Amino acid sequence: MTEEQLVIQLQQGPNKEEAFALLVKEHKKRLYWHIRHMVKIHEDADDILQNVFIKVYRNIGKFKGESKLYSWMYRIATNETITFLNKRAKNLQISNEELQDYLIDQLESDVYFEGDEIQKKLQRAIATLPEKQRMVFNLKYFEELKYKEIAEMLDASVGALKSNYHHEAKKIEEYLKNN
Amino acid sequence: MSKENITYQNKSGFGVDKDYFDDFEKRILSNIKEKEIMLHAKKMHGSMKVPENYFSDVEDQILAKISSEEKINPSKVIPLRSYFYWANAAFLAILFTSLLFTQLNSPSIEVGEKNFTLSEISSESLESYIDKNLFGTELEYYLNGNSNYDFSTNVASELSSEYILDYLDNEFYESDFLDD
Repeated sequence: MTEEQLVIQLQQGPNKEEAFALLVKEHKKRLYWHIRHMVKIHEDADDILQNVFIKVYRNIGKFKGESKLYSWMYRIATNETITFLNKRAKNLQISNEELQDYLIDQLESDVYFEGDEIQKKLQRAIATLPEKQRMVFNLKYFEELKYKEIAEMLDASVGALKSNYHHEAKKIEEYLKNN
Repeated sequence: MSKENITYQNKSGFGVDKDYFDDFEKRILSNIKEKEIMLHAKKMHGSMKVPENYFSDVEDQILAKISSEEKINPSKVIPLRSYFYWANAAFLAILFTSLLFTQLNSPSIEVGEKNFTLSEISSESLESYIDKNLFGTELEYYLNGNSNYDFSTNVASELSSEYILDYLDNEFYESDFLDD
């Protein structure tokens, strides 16, 4: 089934639930890891992932096909995750930058994290980037998306993303060198 | 950069910084270490774990949530009750506004090119208008409570019998039509 056919099924087909099951099967892992890299903790990623798919189901009628379906879903996932992180920072009465450090500290007690000091160090280096740059870095470095896909998702130009990514990678190298 | 800090190779003339080769190994190792860190960390999915069978369980959970939502709310219901309330509210608001408007603006009578309101007309003028135009008609009968007033001479006599029969036919025809 092509993406267009899937969207038609989701929007007006009699087998909406079957089409949705297919959509979940197809995209659950990519969306999960996208969210997990931003929130770090499995339980939080799980809650957000479920909310994202429910939002997709409820709002599929608003999808006009102007972008790829996965880009639209990634945008929903990104917005949902940013909202979650902002709420968490507000509840803890800390800034978003401090929250990043807090989340990395939490990794030590997370049973679903087996990373060593090097991986934690890289996470701390990524945490020093501003929010949007952090997201671009995660999408390119960990999720290995193409610039074109990221550009569509974030409504940015490929050229700007390439130069930003290079700049971000340099910043991270600097951090790793000096810490 | 001053030429004093550069070591030249005599034959080719190319030069390098004097201490270039001194910390060369250190810089290379540092670079390799950074690259290794990056490569090592790239296996992040390997260190970030998920519970066993998580991805099949989460799929079931999401579909169960959607399914229960569909059962509770199978199709989009347009809340007619709320439309009814809004229509009523709008009607009452219009009614209230028109009443208020008529209260505030007493009716005007157009005489020639000039508009008069009732408050501008003297009671004498009104009395003389009523005397001239209304008395001598059915109104007089009602106003005076005159039981001897004869309709047949004043109204019915002016109507032809054909007109009265046509009227009655139409009335009966219409009422028959509406009956089941």
